[in-house]
Amino acid sequence: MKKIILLLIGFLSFCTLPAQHVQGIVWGVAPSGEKTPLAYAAVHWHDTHTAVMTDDNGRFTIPLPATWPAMLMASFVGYNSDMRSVTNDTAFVELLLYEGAELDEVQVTGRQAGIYNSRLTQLKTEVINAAGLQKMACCNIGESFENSASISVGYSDAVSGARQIRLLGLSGIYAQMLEENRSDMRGLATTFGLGFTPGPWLESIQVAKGIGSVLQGYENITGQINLEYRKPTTPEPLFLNLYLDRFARTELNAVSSLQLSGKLFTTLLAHGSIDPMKTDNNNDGFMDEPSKKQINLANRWLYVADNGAMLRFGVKGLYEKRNGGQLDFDASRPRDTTQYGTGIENTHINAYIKLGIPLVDTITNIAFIADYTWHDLRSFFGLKTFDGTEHTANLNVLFQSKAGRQHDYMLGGGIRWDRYRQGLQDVWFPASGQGAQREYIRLDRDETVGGLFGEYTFSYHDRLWIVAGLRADYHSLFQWLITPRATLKYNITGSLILRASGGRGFRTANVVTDHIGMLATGRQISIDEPLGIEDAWTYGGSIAWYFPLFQDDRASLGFDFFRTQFTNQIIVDQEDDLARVHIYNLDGQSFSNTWQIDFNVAPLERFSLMATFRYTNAQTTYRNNRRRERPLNDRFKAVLNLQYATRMNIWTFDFTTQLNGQSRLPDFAATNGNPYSPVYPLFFAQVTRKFRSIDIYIGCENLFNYTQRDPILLASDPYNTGFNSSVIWGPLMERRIYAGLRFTLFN
Amino acid sequence: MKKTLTFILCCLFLTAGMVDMQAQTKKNEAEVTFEVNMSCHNCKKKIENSLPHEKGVVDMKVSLEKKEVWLKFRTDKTTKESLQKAIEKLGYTATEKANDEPAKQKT
Repeated sequence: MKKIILLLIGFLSFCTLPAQHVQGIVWGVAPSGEKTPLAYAAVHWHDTHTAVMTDDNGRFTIPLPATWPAMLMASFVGYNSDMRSVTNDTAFVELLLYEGAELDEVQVTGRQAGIYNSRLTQLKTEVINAAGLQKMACCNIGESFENSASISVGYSDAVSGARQIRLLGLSGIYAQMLEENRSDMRGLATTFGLGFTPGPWLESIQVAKGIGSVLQGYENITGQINLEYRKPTTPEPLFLNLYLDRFARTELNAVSSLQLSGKLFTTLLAHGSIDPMKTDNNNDGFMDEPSKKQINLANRWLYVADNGAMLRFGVKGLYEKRNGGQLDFDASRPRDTTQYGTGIENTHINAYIKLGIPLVDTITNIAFIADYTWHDLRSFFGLKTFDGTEHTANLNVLFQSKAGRQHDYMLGGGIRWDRYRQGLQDVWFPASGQGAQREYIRLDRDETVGGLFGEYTFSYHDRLWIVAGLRADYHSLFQWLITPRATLKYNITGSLILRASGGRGFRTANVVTDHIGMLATGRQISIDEPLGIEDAWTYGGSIAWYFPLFQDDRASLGFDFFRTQFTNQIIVDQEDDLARVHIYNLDGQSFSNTWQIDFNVAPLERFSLMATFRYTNAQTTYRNNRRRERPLNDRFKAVLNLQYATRMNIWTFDFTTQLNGQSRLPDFAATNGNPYSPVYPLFFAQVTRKFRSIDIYIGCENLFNYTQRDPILLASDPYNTGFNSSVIWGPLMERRIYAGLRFTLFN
Repeated sequence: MKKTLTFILCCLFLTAGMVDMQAQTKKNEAEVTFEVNMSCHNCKKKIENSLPHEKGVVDMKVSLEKKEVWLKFRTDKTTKESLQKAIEKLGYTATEKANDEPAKQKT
């Protein structure tokens, strides 16, 4: 009788269980595609503390959430997390965790390094994480690369304040900027684009060196710089950052991530900054940096549907105005030869939508990505005026699946439409004394590019990955563009990783904005012939070795080499003719070879050291078969970064020193027969103190006050052909002392 | 230039060494490990943001994987119970773990 009652109770409780609990199973998916139940995985309702663990058979029973629908998340070390929306009529939930999410060194050791080489990516990738973004002032992404030897940061000229980066010894225009893996800041936005994303908006930056996937188009040549924003799913309703420096540059950043329901998430991002002070420390009559103001707003959304489909969409808008030139320049007066000033106004709007739908067994996915960008640039440099407007629309469809145990493939197609309306009013004063000469150059261009692409990944026992990709695009101006690419990653042992990659990339030049510095000269701009599409091959490889050293079980030593060889390149030649800037297609060889060595160790708990050295040899053939070292390209860069934190990171001390190698000076700028700029060191230091919810930091850039003396040639006569402010190889700003605070409100 | 670098390096190593020596448990310090129902990185972040600023806390390690919070504290300034309450105040459950299994590993 007792038994019967017990059985009855057991049966009843089993029947009633679904009403109070949600049941399900967590599967682990091996790289081969094989599914096995995953024991001891953590399952929890998103944004709550209700969590359970799966049993030996991967099954779980979790109490009902407070509200419907709710997001159920599963995670397990070494696997990617999965998240599903669950409604009150869901009978049984299946969660799939994909194997292969090895933990990166930062997560494993809790080391302080803010920049590290990822072990997981197919390409050699430097990751600048949240800690790295907080190491320096990092007001914008142009300022977050000071710890990296791979990237050199400089100015395009001494008057516009446009920051330029160099990756693999080549201008940043050959690296593709990505916003969460979607192409961003291209076209007319490239020039000032590094200043268009505030550092405090970001969670991390990944710099992948060498040729990447065919998925994002054919435009990446030297690498990809991907920006990951603060996530809408992070329960931080308010993050604030306030920054102030000795030049009165003031910045305010605010980010709010809100979980509106179990399915709908949003992030609001805002930035306002003003850099009002006019300084002229070298007494050449010109401002060292333009005064500027910027307002930047973004709103990003994520919607997760019941079937696992994810919809992401967002919009971003920016306005920036900068004024530079002579200190006493009065913008309200008509522009004439009695004064020299610059004015640059950028307005940018971007909207995007991304939809990912899991099909059948969730191993197959289909995705749609669409975006639209409008960019408007109005500028003047003395009497030269350049105005441009860009409309870009993109649509991509992507299908991703597996075929068998070791084969992944991706197929897709896309169409891009670009409309550029650009006009350059060139004004110059010939040495013959003829007075002002004028020419109006129209640079309008419409491009429509349609393409198909495929990428196949072969993976063998979590040790070897071979990715082969091909895309074929039909370009309305340059006809067929065929882009083959391949990468290999081989984990020779658990601690020795070999990578190799190679492939082709193309790029249509926006010749004025790509080389905006040439407008800040007294010369005539001469586009000598119809310009072709830039076409280059990049190949290279790297080896990384991880080993125990002192108390660090993952010290690392890495070496890499990359070579970019141009088939066609747009050459901007200031050396052939001292009265003109000549622009023409490459006729001959142009290449860049880069060698780099990295060393990382955390010799004591909470103390880390990173040392890296890069050497570059970049040569280009100029007109009349002159093969020269590319001017204003630093031959080497060495970086040493030390960070120490006290217990619980209450105090953090950062110190970075760089040794910047010599750059070849253009012939006309070489002084005393010395064709090279000097080798110079730079020092950076920052101290951060953490309080509950608030971090306060104080720091200094260019600690020992090193600047390039007289960066403007013939500053006294800005309408002479010899006037030139584009010969920049060193820092323009003196020691910058800054302070800031970060406030985080946790939910 | 070289001298400056050597000097800075020496200073950093010395400071690091000194602070490391301080890391050894003093007389009036005790350790405790709590099992905490953290389920995500944000929970870890929330605990790391708040607990170091509790009165008497001198060191802390949080392991999300093991769901453990290890704390070193000054016995004249706080107690295990008040630390447990501080964790619970953040919305988590905290149960003290036996002494033989401290979570003082790298997180």
